[in-house]
Amino acid sequence: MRNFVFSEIMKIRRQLMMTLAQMYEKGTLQEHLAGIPKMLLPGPHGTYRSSVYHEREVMKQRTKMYLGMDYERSRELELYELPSLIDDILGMKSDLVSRDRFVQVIKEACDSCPSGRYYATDLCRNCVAHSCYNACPKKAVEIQNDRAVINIDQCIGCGLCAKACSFYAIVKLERPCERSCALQAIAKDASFAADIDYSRCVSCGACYVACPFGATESPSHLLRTLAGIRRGEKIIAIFAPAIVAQFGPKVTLGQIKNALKKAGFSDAVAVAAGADEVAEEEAHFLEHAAGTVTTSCCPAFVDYIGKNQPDFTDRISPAPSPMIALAKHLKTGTGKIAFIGPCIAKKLEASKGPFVDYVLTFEELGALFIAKGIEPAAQEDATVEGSRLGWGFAAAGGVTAAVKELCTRDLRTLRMDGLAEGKETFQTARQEKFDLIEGMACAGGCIAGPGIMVNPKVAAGALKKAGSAT
Amino acid sequence: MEIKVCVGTTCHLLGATELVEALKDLPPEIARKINLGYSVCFESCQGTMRPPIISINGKYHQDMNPSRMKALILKTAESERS
Repeated sequence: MRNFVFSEIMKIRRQLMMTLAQMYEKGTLQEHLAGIPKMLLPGPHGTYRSSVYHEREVMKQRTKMYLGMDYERSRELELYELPSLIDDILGMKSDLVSRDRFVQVIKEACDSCPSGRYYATDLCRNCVAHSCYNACPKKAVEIQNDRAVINIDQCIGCGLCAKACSFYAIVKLERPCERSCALQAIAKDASFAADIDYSRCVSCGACYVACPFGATESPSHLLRTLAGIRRGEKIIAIFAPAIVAQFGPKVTLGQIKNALKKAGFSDAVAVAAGADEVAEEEAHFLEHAAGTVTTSCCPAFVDYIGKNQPDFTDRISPAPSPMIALAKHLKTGTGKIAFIGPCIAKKLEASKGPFVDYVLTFEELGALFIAKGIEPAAQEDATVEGSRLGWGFAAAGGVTAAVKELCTRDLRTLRMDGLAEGKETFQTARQEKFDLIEGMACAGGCIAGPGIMVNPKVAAGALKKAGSAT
Repeated sequence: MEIKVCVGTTCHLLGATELVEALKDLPPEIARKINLGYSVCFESCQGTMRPPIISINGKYHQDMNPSRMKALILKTAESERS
């Protein structure tokens, strides 16, 4: 499970989300949109980068994505061109809206970090053994000015020099995005910027978390949700169990529920109720099932199976995800459903069916509350739906625990805790017989998802107390 | 020393949780003197001040991060001693 460290990237993202949402609510967005980068980055010197103009360019691209636009299709548009288009964009009528790509690289922000090469650092002591020089099969290591230098034209990236060095002086240069991606879905474009290979990407958001330049971004549904509320749509907010502790230790689940209703949602229901139903359904199915079944609640995991373990595609649980299970019950004629969770892949899952119309992350929900002037801690408490088993879905191992408890026969289970374990998990699954394979794309489960606001360890502790005792 | 950390949504989004965590890392002789409280909102972030906001002995401090906050606390502790 990843650690959670608050960073400037989060601050930039959240400040921009908050600004856009506040302006939209005040009705001044069209008027002030073009001035946002200059307002938040007044200059004259760069705040994070050496040039303030570079920072503003990145913020311009990010702004468009927070309006819900597709990066590639809107890349050349300037903010001053948007006011006349904005109603169509927020109303989903424009072609500029992102519909199937929810993880994109802002090329202007990408630093095109070096990768795949080895570099001899100044920890090199120019030792007598010259182990690196001797270990290199391509004679790519040279000794210049009393230290090892790797000739990149001859280096094949085998890493033998790094292994041979007694001082750990040789390092592999890696891109944080590439390293974070368990599926090798990050390639390079013609100008060496990161480029997502969508035939491999499952929208897990690992690169969104990993990039220290904040170059990976996800087109947002935030403003379009606010627009829906303003149009008078009846939107039911459904919130994922990973919401525990997200608004701090002082805010209860019931207060979040009431805050959502006050924000303009017609109702607010815990997705844990949907999870309870899914757990029942999977347990029931497993009573008589022959052969392995995999869970279906994590959309990135389902996508992973399709792209990497196709022979297991027909083993995916027939039960819908908790989000879809609950949305199916709540959806009425013209009513809409907004899912609130820690997840980017849910945006893609929602786009594939008619049940969920808006997907917000916890960060985006925070911005929405701020724009609406609602303080969750000041709301009255209320009871929330779902048993402790349903709430448990938010952490890795939770689905397994729920299904095991509900199924009368003994189940043999296997877990894929994070995409990095994928290969090994499915190798094991082919060799031995398992009844249930639980898959979570994010190690630790949803509480460690890309859109979280608190340390997953804190959320895991709070999760143990959530939900009724069944 | 009276310290209040705003845990309102805006401060929460912009790093108040990190401040609460950082307060646990203070040297014990200083931590003993701190009377820590939480405020739901100082309500000044909407206008003049930049979140996250804390107050030390009733005085507000804006745009906090763990290192700036620690420096302020140590400075206040120093002046209280003298």
